[in-house]
Amino acid sequence: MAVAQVDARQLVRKLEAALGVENVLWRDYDLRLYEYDGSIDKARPQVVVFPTSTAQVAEVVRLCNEAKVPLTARGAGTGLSGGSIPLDGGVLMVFSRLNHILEVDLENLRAVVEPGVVNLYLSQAIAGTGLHFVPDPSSQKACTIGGNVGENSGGPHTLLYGVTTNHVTGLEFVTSSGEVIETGGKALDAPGYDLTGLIVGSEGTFGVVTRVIVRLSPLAEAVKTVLAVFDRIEDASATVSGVIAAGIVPSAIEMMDQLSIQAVEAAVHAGYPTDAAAVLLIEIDSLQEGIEDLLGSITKICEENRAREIRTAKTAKERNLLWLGRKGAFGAMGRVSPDFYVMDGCVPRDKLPEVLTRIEAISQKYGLRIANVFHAGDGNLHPLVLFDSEHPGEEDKVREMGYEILAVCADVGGALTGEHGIGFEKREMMGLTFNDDDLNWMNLVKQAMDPTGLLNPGKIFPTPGKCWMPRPRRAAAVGW
Amino acid sequence: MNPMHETLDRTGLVAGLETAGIAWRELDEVERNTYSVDGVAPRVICWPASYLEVAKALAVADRLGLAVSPRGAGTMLGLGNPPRAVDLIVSTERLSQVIDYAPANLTVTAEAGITLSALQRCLAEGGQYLPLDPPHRDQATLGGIIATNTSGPRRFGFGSARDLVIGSTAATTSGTVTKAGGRVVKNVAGYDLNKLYIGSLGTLVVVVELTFKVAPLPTSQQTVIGRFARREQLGQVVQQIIRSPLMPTAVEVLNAAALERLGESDLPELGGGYLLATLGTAPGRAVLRQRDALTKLYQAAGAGAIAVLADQDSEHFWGKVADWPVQREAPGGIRVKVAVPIARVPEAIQALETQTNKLDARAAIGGRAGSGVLYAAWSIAETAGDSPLVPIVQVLSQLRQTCREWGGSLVVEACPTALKGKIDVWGDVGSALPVMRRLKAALDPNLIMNPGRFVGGI
Repeated sequence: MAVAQVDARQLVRKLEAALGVENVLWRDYDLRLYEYDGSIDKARPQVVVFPTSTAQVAEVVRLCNEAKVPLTARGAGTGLSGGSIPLDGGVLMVFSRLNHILEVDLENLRAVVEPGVVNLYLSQAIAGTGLHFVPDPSSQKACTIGGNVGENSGGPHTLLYGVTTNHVTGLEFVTSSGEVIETGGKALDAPGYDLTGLIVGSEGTFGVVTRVIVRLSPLAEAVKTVLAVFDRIEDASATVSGVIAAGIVPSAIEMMDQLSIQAVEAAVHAGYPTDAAAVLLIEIDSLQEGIEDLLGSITKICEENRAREIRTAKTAKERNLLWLGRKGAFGAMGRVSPDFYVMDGCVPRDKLPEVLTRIEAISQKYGLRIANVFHAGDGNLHPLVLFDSEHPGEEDKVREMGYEILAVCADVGGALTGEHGIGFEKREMMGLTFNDDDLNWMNLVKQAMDPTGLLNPGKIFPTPGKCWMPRPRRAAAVGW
Repeated sequence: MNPMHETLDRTGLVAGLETAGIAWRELDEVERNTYSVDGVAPRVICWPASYLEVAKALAVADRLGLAVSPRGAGTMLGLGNPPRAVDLIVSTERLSQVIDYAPANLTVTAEAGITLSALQRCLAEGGQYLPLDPPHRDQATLGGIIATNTSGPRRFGFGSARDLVIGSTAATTSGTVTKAGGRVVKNVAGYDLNKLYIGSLGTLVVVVELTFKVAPLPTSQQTVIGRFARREQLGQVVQQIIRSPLMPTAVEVLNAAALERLGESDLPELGGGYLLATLGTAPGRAVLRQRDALTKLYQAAGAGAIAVLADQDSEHFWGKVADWPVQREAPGGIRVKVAVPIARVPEAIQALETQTNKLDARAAIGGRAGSGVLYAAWSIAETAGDSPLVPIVQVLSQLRQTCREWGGSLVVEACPTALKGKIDVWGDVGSALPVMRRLKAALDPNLIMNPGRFVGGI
């Protein structure tokens, strides 16, 4: 659907007129910066725009409609499924100039932000109020709240507090035809369909979010962070199940295997023992009273499962160091491999040992190492396949391994993605957990929200004809 | 009116249901009354025994253009504008099994027709519960709770259905059975249609199966109750509680009339004041800290008659609190739900009092003080004719206008059918309505699902 050059020039002129010359990029040199995200696929946009207001966003949507040019929204480009890659070219909308915290409303536990606000900046802006914005993806220093809304992002602390959708109560949203609508609000239970909930996680395929009303939550009074060290990965998995079965819901349970530990230690020196088979990073949020009891229960479960060492962070600095290791784990892979490929699947927690064994078998079969660093408490796996793109054929091998790993997740009743999105990366795998009827039904929703299909084309749904053929929309007997 | 309704294709409907092997019955006069929705009486009821049978029933109705009303236990059947037509009731009564419960996963999957209390009994065996506590828990089905998006006091701590449902299976008007979400707690594969179905009042699909996140049963619970003479005190203490790290599970306010509906003789006399009840369920010793810290906050804010209810007494109390809005509901009663930004709660209570006083009604008022969701319920005098309805419409319109100015809403959840002709029970839903209509037209193109009951004529 890439637009012909002559039309592109016309479109650029119109976009420049609407947004100002300084808010439109079109030279190939500039466009190259916007052809990638955090995954391994690339596609170059023909124009990049930086709207500074909702009205400008709506105008860009209208101009794209008029020119029949695809439009893809992009936050910080930290996505891991190709969600913001403009597959068919066209216009890429970037929110770095729509990045204001519009309102902090402490008494209503809400904040109103523009989509380009960096996740961490919001919690920093309200530091000292006793409140924070809960979703904390590992990329929170860079990723935007608009991107979090698009992907329904998670993070380590979802176990107790939920994911992005649980912390968004309203949106301002530009529809595919350029209307500006409001969904939800600061108040709960707005009558009508929960469009806020439908739009969060729709990966930019329904429209463009221009304003987000988020929930603010009180910070925990006491936090304890425990590092438990295991000589067998099975023991670490059993500890995860043991904690949940004991009726304890920590705020986070993260697991790292030996390869991850070694990479992290080489990069950030978080103090993880490099000879361990696995470590668990367990965090509990509580009131001051009771936290020692919780800590005692967790320590006991770790010991019962043969933890060889259990270390509790004594200071905020120690705690931050432990988390630095975990949050920096993806980046640390550069220390042990020239390239790595991040997978994201979610499985029932009691299937973790089985799934880890099967992933190890896939690693053996293909002869490529896999590091596991993941949100174990949620069953949300992040196998990192280590490879070298200089070796011919290795990238294809990695993709095949990714497919096999997700097939395992699907086989045990899990999901293809816990928090990174389907995007472009996994669209052909949707058939592993959704049948034609499921996909057709979702496609009806897509057609209702974006009848021309210009919004972030090529995402979520498998290529028609390969293994799935969208059914045309049934004609309505009664119109509105 | 649905043009099809006048010429109900009974033969076609019966033949379709028979072919699909679905149990059905033509309703007699008495039953038609029982199953009528705002005075619109259905002709036929069916009881599908499988997800596919539900889908087939919808396909038959869709082909014939007959209006379908899905039904769980019927506890919230009064919710919505009067239907344009009701031809076929699709009951979920025969879909009442727990499909998958693995305590180690903190998730449960069950059919939509199971009652909440039956599900809770199953979960209790695993030491867990679904922290969703809407009214009518002994009768209400999961499907009905989802369709009406009802919730209870514990939403302060655990959220409402949208925060607890992680997967669903729906029977569609295309005759298909489709899934969204899944059985794992984190899942962003495909669109989150669960959210679309929650609160959609059966206007899109019939939800036949649901998967929820569940929580460990608290080992102990402590409830602090106290009387506040003035709304300002109430607002102040609620602010302190919700911005503190105490993280209670419920923060609930009741006025004297609401407290009477609880039918508990040993609760304090309120006079013109308010009862604030706060539930703590933190693990271990933390629950005692919740109790003590809340008590101190109550005292500092000038509360009277502070008392603590523990464990079984507390559980009993919250069961009553969940149910008061629907207790003693006379046929002529009115119940509204008001949602406002949290800090507006004291003003919203005042507005509800002032306006209902104009009607000489003694309204029971209360609800989720920490979430900004209040309920008010009152009965209206039995008088013939439409004349008593005029001031009620005025009062409701005024209240709704006030709520909208605050960025909130007012929904008339229950009222006499006669009133529904004079006021839209949902109110104006604003700029999002065209998008809602497009979704409705895409998923139910012949507009057979509960036609006319929902917002904007959907």
